[in-house]
Amino acid sequence: MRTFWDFVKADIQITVRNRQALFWTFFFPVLLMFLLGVVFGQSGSFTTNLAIVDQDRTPMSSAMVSAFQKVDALKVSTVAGESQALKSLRNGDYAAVLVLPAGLQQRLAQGATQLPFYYDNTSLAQAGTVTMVTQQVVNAFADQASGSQPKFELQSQGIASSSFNYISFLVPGVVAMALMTNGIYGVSGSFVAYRQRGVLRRLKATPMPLPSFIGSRVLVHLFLALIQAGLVIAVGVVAFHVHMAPGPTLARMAVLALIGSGSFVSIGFFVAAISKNVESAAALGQVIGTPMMFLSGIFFPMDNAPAWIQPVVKAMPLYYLANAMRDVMIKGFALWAVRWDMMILLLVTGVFLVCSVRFFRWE
Amino acid sequence: MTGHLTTDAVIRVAGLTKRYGDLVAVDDISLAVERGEIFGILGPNGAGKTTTLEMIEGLRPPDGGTVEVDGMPVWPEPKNVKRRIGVQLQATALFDYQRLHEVIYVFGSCYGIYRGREACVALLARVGLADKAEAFVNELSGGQAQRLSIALALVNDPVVTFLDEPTTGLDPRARRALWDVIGEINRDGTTVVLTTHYMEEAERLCDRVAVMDRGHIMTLDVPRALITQLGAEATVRFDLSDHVPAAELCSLDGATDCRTVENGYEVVADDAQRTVVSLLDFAHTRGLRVAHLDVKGADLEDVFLSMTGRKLSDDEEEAPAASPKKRRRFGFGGGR
Repeated sequence: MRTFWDFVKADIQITVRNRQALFWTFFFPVLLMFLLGVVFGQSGSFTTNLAIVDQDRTPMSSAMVSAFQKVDALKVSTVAGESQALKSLRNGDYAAVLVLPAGLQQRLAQGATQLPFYYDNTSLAQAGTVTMVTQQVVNAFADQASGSQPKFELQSQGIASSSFNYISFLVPGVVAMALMTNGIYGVSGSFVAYRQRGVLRRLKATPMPLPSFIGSRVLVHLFLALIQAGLVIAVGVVAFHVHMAPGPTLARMAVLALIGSGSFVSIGFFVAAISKNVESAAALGQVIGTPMMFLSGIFFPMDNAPAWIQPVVKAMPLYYLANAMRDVMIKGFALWAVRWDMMILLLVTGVFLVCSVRFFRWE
Repeated sequence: MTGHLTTDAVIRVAGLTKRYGDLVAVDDISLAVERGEIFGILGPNGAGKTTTLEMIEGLRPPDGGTVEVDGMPVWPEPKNVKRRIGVQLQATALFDYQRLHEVIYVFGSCYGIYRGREACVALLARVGLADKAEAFVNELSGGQAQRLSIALALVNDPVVTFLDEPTTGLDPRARRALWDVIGEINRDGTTVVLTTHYMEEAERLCDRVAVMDRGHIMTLDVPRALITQLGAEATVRFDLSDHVPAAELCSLDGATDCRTVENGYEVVADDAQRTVVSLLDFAHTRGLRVAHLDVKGADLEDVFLSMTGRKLSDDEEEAPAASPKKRRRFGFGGGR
């Protein structure tokens, strides 16, 4: 056991001292996240849906609704019940819900009145816009109606919706993709290099069991995977204001990162097992990794992809990891709710581990 | 086969065979290595040296025959034997980004030996690398890397250590330095088994040598005995300050043949010493100066040639400085 930890320590030393490789391991997904965020982060929120619940039903409230309808930036719908509107808000159908309470006229006559205003806080940028526009419209209306200082006040309350904008769609996907890339390329590359250079052979000449060596590498790799996932999430949250679902989301993400990384590491070992040299391992890694990257719904949802490609999508382990991470990170699902995704990933791990052992070669 | 097999053998190999498809890489070889000796396996590339070593080391299962190391059978479960032997493989490759003392520690750890830093440096000192303890593996020169891999072959304090072509690819100076290291390890009490395709190495370093070719052991004995068995002749080469008909040189004592060659003369002698004395006499009486006197004695190269009809160094174009011929130089004349 001590030998195992000695190898863990040595592996960490090697990893940390190889500054260049370390830099790219961590920097590449972060860079990718930044670029995608900057390029695509603003899309998906060109029209802002506002629901108005008119409980007043007076000419004044109707006038207010039509004032909102004149605003180009908003797409206004009127909804009969407040609870129904809030449910739709939670589903992500609206960016905000404004309630015009009954007796608006009287309240206004009595002085300042508060208007209940609910906004979807999963997208802070959009929430800011819709709050600002609503405030402006309400103020202008109050000016017209009373000729006095604004009397309406928005009684704002943020509500998390389960929908997400593009960047929130992207972050969990990029986390999953980074784990995939590092798992497949990192493990296969270094392992084949060790075999090619005779390091494995030299270790075989010692009485140390090979599983100790492989196990220590896997452990260190999983540790790196956690750091990597954490960095990408941090960039998403800090730079692009991606809202993480409340609850033990980070802990759940960590579990998913470990399970997902495990399956890609075992694919990596399989690639290493059947590749003769570093070059063919890199090529085979690309062959497996590249389609997976584009067909697993990392950059765009695959729901809209043609039906014939769906079976291919469903065959990608990365698809399940990205899905599960999205459900957990953005929608706040518990792990139990993504158990099937996890089962599939574990199954992938098992199958590829067995194949790796079957095809393993020392030299 | 005149190897003096005693009862105190640390390695016993009997009928060892390895096939790769139709090719018989190692063909029914038997040998015994005595405790405390340096045992050499000499042969050209592809002779089966490495395969033989690997079967003894527990790295490659044989197709037939038995191997015993320190009284224990290596196969079918080589683990116990692996604990007792030290191994240096032909291709030295280790983890980059590790310091030398860390590499020593980690490899010791593989054997359940957990050295402190001091002890790691002490082991490095045995191969002359104490001052490199803090250096990284990838900063070492070829000779230093080989010495490190020899240190790793000592990491578990083995009863016998195997060195597979330890000096291949090194320049002559690094090679000689490594011979000193290997000699010292042996004096410290470790039996050494090494393979080489440099006959000078086998001659200088080994107590006994097995000459191997195409999977067979051609002969096995003390290097000197192998050479004297040949009754081989020496070639005396020299130049004279004035021209002399070559035929006159055939009258030198012990000369069996003589000829004019580029830059001088060559006399083949069955007794080089008598021939040289007679040559000096000859030059003295004629008032001639002898220059570039050079005597090439018979060596293991000649043994190999006579055993196989082929030259040992045929396949050494990749290492031009590879097999410096063994020459005894005299203190005057044109020594380089």
